[in-house]
Amino acid sequence: MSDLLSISPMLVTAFTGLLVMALDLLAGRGRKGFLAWVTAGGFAVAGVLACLLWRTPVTLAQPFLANVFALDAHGWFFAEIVLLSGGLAALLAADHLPEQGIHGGETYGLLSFSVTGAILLIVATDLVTLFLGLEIMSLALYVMAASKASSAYSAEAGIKYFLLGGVASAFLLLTVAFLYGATGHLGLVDIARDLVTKGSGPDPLLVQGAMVLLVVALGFKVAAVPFHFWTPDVYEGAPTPVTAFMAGAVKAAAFAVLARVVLTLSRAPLFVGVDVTPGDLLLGLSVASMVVGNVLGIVQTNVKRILAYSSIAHAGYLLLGVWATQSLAGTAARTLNDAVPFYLLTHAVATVGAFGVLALLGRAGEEDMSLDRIAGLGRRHPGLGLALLVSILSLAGLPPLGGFLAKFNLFRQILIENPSVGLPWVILALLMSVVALYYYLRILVYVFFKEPEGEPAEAIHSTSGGIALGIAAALTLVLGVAPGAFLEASHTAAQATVLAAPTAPAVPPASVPAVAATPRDATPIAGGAQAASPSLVRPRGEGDAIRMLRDTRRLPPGIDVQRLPAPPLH
Amino acid sequence: MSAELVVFGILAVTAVLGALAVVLPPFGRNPLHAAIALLTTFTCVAGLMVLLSAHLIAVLQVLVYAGAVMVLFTFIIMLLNLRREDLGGFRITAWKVVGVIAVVAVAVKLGVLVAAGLSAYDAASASVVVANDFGGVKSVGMALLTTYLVPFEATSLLLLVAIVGALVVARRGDGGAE
Repeated sequence: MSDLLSISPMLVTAFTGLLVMALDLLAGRGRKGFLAWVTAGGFAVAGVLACLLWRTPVTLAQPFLANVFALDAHGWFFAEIVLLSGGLAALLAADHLPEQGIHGGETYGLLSFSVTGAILLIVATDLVTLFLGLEIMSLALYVMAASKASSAYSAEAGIKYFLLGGVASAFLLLTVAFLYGATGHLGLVDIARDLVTKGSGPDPLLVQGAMVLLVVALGFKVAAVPFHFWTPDVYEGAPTPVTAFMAGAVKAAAFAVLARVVLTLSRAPLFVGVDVTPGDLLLGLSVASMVVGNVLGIVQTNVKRILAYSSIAHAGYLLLGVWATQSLAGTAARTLNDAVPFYLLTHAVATVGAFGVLALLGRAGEEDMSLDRIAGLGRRHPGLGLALLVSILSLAGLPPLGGFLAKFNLFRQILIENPSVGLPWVILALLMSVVALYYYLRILVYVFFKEPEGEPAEAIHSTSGGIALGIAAALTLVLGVAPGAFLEASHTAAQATVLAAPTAPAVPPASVPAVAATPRDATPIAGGAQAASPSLVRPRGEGDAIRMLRDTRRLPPGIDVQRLPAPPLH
Repeated sequence: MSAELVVFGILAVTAVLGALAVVLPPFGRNPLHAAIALLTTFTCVAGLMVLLSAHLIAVLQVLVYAGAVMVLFTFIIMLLNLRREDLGGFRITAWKVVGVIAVVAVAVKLGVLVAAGLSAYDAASASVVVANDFGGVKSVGMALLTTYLVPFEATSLLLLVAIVGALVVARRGDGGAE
């Protein structure tokens, strides 16, 4: 019973989905709006349950639950972000969907299932559960993106997201297969323990390939360059509340799992004698995302596309945060940067607010959200204008809003923990933030200082949407001026990111005996393997030769550093 | 070299060749030919499962993949009723050239790395341990309903989402009317 209580947030969201789909049958045509309230109410209950569980340490009695879930501060923090974004998106959808000609209530059911999948993905420590969570979340999103029957853009968004997302899922599945092949385990804790005590098995290529494929698969989900091509089209074509959910919740969930898997597995010396480490990959993606997202954002004229490129750029800052690890409670071990969970929270709130304003614009199937059409919005609808102002300024990172504090905190943490290595990249990030100001302020100039040319976008009257925007704007302000409790929560979440030390007692092995890891590496490698958990950040100025010398002692026997050719990725 | 290794080699190579034929010309140009190539791969994978004495998984592979999934693929291809001109001509674009070069480069580097790994690999000590009833009805059932109960239940949610999603997308034509 207590186990059921412990996983109750997921159960509540799943049952919310079933309930909404049953109520959808009873509700008459054109009277589906209340389903949004039921959905948001379900998410609120799940959110409160998650908060209560957060305060009390959760221990799962049943091994089949304890082996696949880690119900800790990390999980609950990101689950709350997902629930918040999902609830606000549901409220925004209540009046947006009928106006856009989507009369069925399935969107709410799919949204609930998507949230359930996202929470499963966040709290999973077992790679199969993790993959299923990702698939549940994504599959529901593909359908929601394509749900606007009258729009070719929506169909394009659905197909594009589905095909590219399917490829990304295949990459993740290969990650799972490679890690299972290398260690014979599916649990992250078991895999990390095996890799630390036994090295990366007879063929280090398996584990290295798995890590690279993982970064690719999750790079796609967080919309990092060069896996970003779908982002502008999907964000533009999908119904706007769905876009809001995608930009807020999916990014948070993907970053949660990326940080957890990469940092947990990075405890083991996986990349000895190899030129490109996961840290380098993350840094490369981060720099590319910051530059491409911000520079291409300048030339866009559609507000949804501008926000899509902004989302890519924010993925860049966040990847820099994941790359710049920090020490775990004063030990030599490294964990997620304190600032990253807080940044994701502020980003989710602000981006849902910005897309939320767009969701409340456009009558009767209109979907053109170009800058010209929102010109003068601030004068015609001061409330919507104000909500957009708060959200955009927070995304741009201006004080006193949440976005400023998140960005400041992120760069400060990177510099404190990695002073010399991090400095050039923080400077680049700051420069790119200045570039981004151009397109953020351009939106505001159109909204407040320009007169519309031609027909301006009409606002939809929506009580629930107004409430959602109010919550988002208020929260953005609170995160900026009174962030104490949130920063504290972010700190505990980051400290819990790396799963239990690999030296912890073993979780009972799966009942199906696996193809065993080869015994040749069964004896722990003398010296070094247990000693350090390398940070993702490579010390500056250390040449390949020195690194190879330093790492040689950790190599599994039989593999000669000098004979290993360069890796395929450069 | 044991007979088992020879059979394994034949099945594995055929499976990979079949998978390549699905996407590469000339078979990949025609959806039905690609489907047949996929069928080859499915059958060979089932054969690999038999080699592992995983009878249940082998039977399921044939029943579900080679049977139901293939029939569905074939139905859909026939319902679409594609003509040769619908498929479009084969054109060599700049992207395709870049893609081929990238694939070849990565394949060569991977090949070198795998060769390096294999030379350090000691087949004698790399014994494969599989339990007696591995892949049988009992062991698969036990695993699904004890160790992997959560993924099992999550799969049912995934299937529900897939069914609802298919209905939503399929209903597009009538403008959402009920």
